[in-house]
Amino acid sequence: MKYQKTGSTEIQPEANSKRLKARLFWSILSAAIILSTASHWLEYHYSYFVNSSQKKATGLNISRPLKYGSYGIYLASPPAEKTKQRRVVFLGNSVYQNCEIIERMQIQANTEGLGLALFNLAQTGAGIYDYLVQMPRALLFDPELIVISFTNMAFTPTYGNHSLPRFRTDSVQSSLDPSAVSVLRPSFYLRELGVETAVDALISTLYPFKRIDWLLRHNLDDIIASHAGPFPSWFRGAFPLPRLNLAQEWIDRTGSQPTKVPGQAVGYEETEMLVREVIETADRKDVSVLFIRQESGGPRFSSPDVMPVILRITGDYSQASVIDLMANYIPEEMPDGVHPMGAEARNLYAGRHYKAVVDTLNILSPLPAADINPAVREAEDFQRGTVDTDFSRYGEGIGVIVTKDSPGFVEYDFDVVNADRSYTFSVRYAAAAKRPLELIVNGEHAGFVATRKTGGWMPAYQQWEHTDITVKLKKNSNAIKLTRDGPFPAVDKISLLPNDQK
Amino acid sequence: MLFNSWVFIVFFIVVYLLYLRFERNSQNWLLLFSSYIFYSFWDWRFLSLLLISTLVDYYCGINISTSATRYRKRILLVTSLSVNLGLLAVFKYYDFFISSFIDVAAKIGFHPSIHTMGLILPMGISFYTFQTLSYTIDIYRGKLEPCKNLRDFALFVTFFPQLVAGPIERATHLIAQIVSPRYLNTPQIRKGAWLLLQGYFFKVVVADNAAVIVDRVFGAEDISGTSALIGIYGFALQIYGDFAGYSKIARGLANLMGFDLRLNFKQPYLATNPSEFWSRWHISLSSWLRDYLYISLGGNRRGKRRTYINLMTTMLLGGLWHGAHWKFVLWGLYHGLVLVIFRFLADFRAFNRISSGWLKPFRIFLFFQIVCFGWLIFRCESLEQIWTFPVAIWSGLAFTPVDKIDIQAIIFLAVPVIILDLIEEYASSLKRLVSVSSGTHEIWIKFRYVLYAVPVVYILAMIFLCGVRGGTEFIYFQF
Repeated sequence: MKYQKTGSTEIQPEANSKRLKARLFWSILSAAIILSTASHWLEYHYSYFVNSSQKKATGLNISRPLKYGSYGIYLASPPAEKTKQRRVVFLGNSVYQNCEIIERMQIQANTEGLGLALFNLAQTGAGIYDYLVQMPRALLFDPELIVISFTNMAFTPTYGNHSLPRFRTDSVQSSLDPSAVSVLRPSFYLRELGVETAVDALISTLYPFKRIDWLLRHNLDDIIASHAGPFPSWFRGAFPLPRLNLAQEWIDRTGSQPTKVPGQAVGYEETEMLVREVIETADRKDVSVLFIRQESGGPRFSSPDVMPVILRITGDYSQASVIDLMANYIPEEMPDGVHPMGAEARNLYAGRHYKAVVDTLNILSPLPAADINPAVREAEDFQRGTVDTDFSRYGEGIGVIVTKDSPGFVEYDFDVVNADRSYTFSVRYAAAAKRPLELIVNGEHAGFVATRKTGGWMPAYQQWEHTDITVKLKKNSNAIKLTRDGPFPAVDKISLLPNDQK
Repeated sequence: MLFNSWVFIVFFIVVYLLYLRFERNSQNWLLLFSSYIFYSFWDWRFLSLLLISTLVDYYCGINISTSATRYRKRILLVTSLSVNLGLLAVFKYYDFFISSFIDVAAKIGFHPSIHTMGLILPMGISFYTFQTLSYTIDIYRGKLEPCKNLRDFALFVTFFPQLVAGPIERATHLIAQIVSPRYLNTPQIRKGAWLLLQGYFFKVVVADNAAVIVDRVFGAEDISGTSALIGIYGFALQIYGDFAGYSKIARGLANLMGFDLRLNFKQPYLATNPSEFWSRWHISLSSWLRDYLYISLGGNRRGKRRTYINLMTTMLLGGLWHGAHWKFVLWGLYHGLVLVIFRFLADFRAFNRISSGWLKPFRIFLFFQIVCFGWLIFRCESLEQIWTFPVAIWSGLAFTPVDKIDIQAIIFLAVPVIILDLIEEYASSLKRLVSVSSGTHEIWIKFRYVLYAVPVVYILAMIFLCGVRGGTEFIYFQF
């Protein structure tokens, strides 16, 4: 059969079709491979946001604000370098609160020279099913302790009069990751993964764009919000992007209102089984679990009390413990309708969590002997210097060094046990303007610290920051000198820690 | 498996890559097995119904054509009708009629000891049942030769792009494409890709975003006049986006594979009267009802009164086709009544005089309001809710900040749909306009890729930014 295309050119439809089919085949195949590769690259790129939160939590140099926490738990990966630090991974609910809390705990742990690294893998709105799927990823971090901070709601199947999905976050997608397959029991897959879920998880493994799609859109959402561009101001209000918290999105879609329910029964029948599975999954890797109940069931509503069940179960295992804070992260209960995301970070506190975590760790293994003694010092405990100390103006318990003469200096002596190791020298300081300090180690220039403006140093608008720098030290006595030809910033503390224990 | 799910996208890419490497014979096997996999993703147990329907109609079709006597032909046709409509009646309507009967009986103090079966409605059953029915009826009427190859016939029943929500294909159209060689060509691929893009835009951007607003309005216990209007117009947009979106995706997928599925929507909201509306909305169903029900009842050949009765009967059954609920019966009756009124008015010269010319936009607007009232019946949560909307609108319009955002959102979603519909409606006029002078033609040639790119980029950006993820079901899947 022949037909006229244009003019007198005759084209065989069959031959034409064959050529087109071949072209389409190779184009689509190439596009699929390119898109898959690109989406793996994008996932790697966007994992920065997660890693930056880890960096924020573990390092003293906080360079970026947390944007996404560990929304995408599958993006969280442990730091490449192996250290002697004892690692603690936080799972469970409330990524934002945990970020703040973990950061403060980390700073405190560093100040005390505990050699702890804390990682935040919590997910907003997670439930007990999510905790189980989070476990393999948490175990990749090689932790000594997994802390699961939970709310009653995580164990209850309902919100008001509506039932909630079993998996409330996207964590189920990581159930087919190689790390998960070796950790989760076959019974989990038989029980939880239908064909569609399994295929879905497989696809997201081959083509991660599927799972970072929301993350990218949230990022774009921010860009649109900050640069209105072609989008009118009502755009965001009209089209709220889907939340990464599936439970919250589900609640929003159904328009259900929170209702207070009497706290009596435990929700899921499977609660006991799932909690045991979480503990035993950790136990198989010789990791302990600490359950921390945040409060009586979330900041906006109450759910039935799950604590008696958790207490009874953890009582059966020597490596599992539970503490009940029975208080919210936030001192004052937020009014209805305010999501924890909207809470001001400064209203969060971590004191009780910190003590519980450190106490648990101390039971697990005693502190290693310090390489430098003391590793962390108050800045005013200097050996030599031309500076003054001030304990009166910077808040209760805070003493700082300030300039008396210009040029001024301050010098500290550190005794080091091991020679030829690299150390991180850190300074906690506040500065209303840029006042960099020159660092001189054993008489040699080693760089500058406290180079940035932090915002202010008076209590009303005090902003403390940490700055760190790697230095080489010799065995036994070392002299570390800070000097500046001009006024000093307000320096509160200094620390010197081996890089592998930072 | 939903078109708007990642699973489907990957499924289609794999099937399509294989399809491109195969010849027609293997392609048909591939499409048949992929269609069964596609359907199994919803519930593999209901494949048995598809197979029953396929086998019964295949053998009935062949035997009808070879039967010597009219009586035997009729017996075979009745067998086919009984099996197909029987399955539909049991799975779709049994519980509805039994529970309605129990309710009515209870009201008169009678408590029969019969129970509903609590059956799940098999996805797409109304669509494939009507499709296979048309096959046996057409053979019985002598309009069609039966398909001799069981595989090809099974593919006609299960062809996955249109299996669960149409368009309801005719054997004369689809089987011919299944059995004959299929050649791909560039304009067809381009058209398929464009339909796919439009379809996904209609579904995940327009319909699913409108659904958020509509669900809130119809789920509220107390509504204002403004939100009632938002709910009704929002639903008109949602159901169009949802169903036309599905049809566009189905046609687009078929085009990519060298098939051509029937046009199912032809800018329905530009209709000026009910006959025109039903020749633009869900065309494959309304033409099925016309050919196999309305005309079988006598159509308009038996006088005015009988025509009115036939119209009402056809629309009532058409309404019931949409779902086992009294609201769909009421919706069908409402449209039947509108058809009868317009048919009655058509006899008056004054009415016909306002049909043409510059009054057309006004008539489009007016008839759109009539359609929207029908959508209110269609969407309402309960029959009582139907009256709360007009009452709320009558009590006055006040704008809350939420209403303002909703209105802006509806306009934002509706504008591209209107533009696309207007372009399609007046495509031939636009082409004439471009070719009329060499100047405009040159500009078109110069900038045509930019003009093509603008809507494509806009649609892709909207799908990425505003598209609702998570694979929300298409409304018509429930039918």
